[in-house]
Amino acid sequence: MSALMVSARRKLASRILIASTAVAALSLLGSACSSASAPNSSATSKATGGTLTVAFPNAVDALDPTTDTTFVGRIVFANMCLGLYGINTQEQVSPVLATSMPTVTDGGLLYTIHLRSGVKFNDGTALNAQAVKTSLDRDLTLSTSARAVELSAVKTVTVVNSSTVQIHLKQPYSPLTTILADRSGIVMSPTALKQEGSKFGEHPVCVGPYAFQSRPSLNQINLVASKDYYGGTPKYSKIVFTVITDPSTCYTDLLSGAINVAAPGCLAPNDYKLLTKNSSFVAKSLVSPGYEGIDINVSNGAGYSKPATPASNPLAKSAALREALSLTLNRSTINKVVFAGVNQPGCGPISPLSAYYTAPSCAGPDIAKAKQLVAASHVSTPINLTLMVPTGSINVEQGELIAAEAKPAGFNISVQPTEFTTALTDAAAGKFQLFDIGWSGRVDPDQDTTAFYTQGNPDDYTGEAPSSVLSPLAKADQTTNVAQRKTLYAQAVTAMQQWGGIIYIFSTTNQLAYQKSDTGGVTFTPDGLLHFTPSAVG
Amino acid sequence: MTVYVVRRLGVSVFTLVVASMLVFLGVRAVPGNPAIALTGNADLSPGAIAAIERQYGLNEPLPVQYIDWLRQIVTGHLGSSPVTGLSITSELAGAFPITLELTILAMLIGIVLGVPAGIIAAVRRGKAADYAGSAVALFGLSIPSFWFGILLILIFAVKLHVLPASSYVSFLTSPASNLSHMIMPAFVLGTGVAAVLMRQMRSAMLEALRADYVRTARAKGLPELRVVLKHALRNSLVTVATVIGLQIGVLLSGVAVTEDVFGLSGVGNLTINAVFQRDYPTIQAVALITAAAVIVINFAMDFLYAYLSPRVRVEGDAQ
Repeated sequence: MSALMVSARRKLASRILIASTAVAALSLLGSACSSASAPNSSATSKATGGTLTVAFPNAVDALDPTTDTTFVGRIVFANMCLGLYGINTQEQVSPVLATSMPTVTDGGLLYTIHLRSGVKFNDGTALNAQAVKTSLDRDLTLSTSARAVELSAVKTVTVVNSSTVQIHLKQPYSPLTTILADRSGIVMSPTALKQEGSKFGEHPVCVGPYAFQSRPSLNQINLVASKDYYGGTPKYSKIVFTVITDPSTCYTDLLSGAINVAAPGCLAPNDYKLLTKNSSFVAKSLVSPGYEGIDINVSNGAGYSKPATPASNPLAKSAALREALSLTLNRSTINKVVFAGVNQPGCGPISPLSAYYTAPSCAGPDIAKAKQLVAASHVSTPINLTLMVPTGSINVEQGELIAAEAKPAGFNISVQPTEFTTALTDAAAGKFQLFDIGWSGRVDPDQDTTAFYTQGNPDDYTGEAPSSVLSPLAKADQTTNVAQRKTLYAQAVTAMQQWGGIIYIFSTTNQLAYQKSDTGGVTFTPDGLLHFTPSAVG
Repeated sequence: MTVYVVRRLGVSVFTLVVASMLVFLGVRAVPGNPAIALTGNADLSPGAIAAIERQYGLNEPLPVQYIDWLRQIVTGHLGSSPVTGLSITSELAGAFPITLELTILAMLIGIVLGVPAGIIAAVRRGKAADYAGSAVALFGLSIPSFWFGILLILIFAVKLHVLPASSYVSFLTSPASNLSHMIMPAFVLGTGVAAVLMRQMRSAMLEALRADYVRTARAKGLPELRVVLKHALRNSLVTVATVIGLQIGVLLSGVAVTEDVFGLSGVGNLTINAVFQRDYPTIQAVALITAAAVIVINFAMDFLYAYLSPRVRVEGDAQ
């Protein structure tokens, strides 16, 4: 019996050993088969020619300039997919693949663009006017294009000769040049487009200092130095973009050297402040074209795709109440308490850095006047409202602070954290009262204003704005004269404040931090993009 | 034995089908339009949104979408993500091995720490070792994994510079680097597992140590070490094996927070990203693969019980 038991135990032990070995082998095989070989320890090497690891907070969608909708996607494109124009460090549009700014003729209906010579895509294909037309036509016609709306003024694109292309417009549209400084201006390799078709985003090929190498997982994109780049040899042999969604992890990874650069949005404001005091790191903050504000549902009661319908909340009926709510806000306090003072309090949608910026009047906080306005409205207090905010501790904290500031004037605001995509869907459908939401911003003010005040646009959560807002915005699109546009935008912003559909809180900033040993390797432009090759900056 | 295995296999397949339906319906119960989610701040035209819905069959009735999905699974073509355009099969092939390796390492750490601690705590019941073991287990159960992970990173990566803070290197590329990247996340997860195993092991051992056969073994004059390790331990391991099976299922389903803290592109990270982006095809594929893995593990555990214990397979066959 004893011998049998010993034998059984030995068999059991043997089986467990075999099973354990099999599981371990499976694990190692799985590990070996995994292609997700991410930044390894060599990624911390910062010397010229080494690998640079850059962390940003969200995953990029498709690496296709025609369909991309993410801010972080633009950071990747800035290094591997150059456009006709770019935004320079002075927040001005300047030529990149074009030789000069476009010549605008025919009353603003014809844009003529001349291209650099001797430029090659990263597959060796030569850049020419036909390639530009192919890319723009794709942006205009691909069914899933995210560029079609911003290029809707374009009628046709024609090739004049191998280095000259012309864009014909349906009506004058002065923001076009700025739009061509974003993804709409990126020129894709016609050879790659022919090979890949709608799957171009899996193997994107453009003109750029770095070429796409691989995307081993959703959270990692590898670029390598291009051999075809016209601007010389890039500083790094490889750039690894990796996603770190947790700000604390971003901070510790930067401290440890696991990443070299923390892109905008990766760090929490307080961690960024700590890095400004750390001599081993460079921490930069630039005012962005973006803003943060509270959208009030005024006439989006039935959703953006339906005719303007008055919303049911008390603020929808009274511009005075909207003004009262605005007067309760202490923008400076919100900025200091929630954002460690990194943003710039303000009352309009246009960045202070913009050539079209006119400082708007920014009253408040004035609780006494707010109380007067509430009393004059004859609406019984407390005025109950729901403020929708995207989930996230910072957003909720900001919402709670807004609610606390508004309370003395008679507003009883409850904060409703809502998952981001759901919040956007609900806002577009008009299912909200107040919505605290930011906009990453664009350099041309048209893209920061018109769509947010025009009923029928999915970005317009507040409803149809009065003609006092829309009329100057429309006129500003018709002229390329900077002084005239500036005056028109000042009129529009004043009218926006009087109407009060969106209460602006501050201009946002983009924060960048990197190891000091990388100084000189990064150019940070006000649009929040990082350029690791100076010659690729517009 | 054969009848038992066939019956368990049938139950597993049925469970998998039910799981597939729940996954399919659950994903669609999440509020928010997936096509809108693709647009970020919604800068696609309504026509483009409709085109996306058509392209991915999101405009079809739910039964049609479900049948199409099953057809894709059976044929092994999970399609591409509408968000990234990447092949979902490739995404899973990249993510699953990372999570699998993390699971196995965490389980090894959990077993190595938890089982001996449970034995010692039971044998030394009411003594200092018991209290110390229970206190450590309570710590392991209560400590948030993200906090523990960041603490380890601060100590071993930021201060001491002995381990990398994040990311992943495949075992074939560099075995040493692979382990140096995986040891901290595995330890974070392993301590949680160890705490659970310690508590289970302690309870099972206490029960076994009170059993008649242990009293008999002691009466025969066997050394205490032999009584504990040869007699009580083997019988206690059946309970612990059940817990190990459940813990493997939990770990395989993705430990998003730990993966996020350590920059691992595993199943948990893939799932979280897919959920936030309303990437229906990827969410469904991940959830189904995870469910299948858990069902397979449960089946394997059932099979293991029957293999180890004649009583289980005899009762199973008799039912």
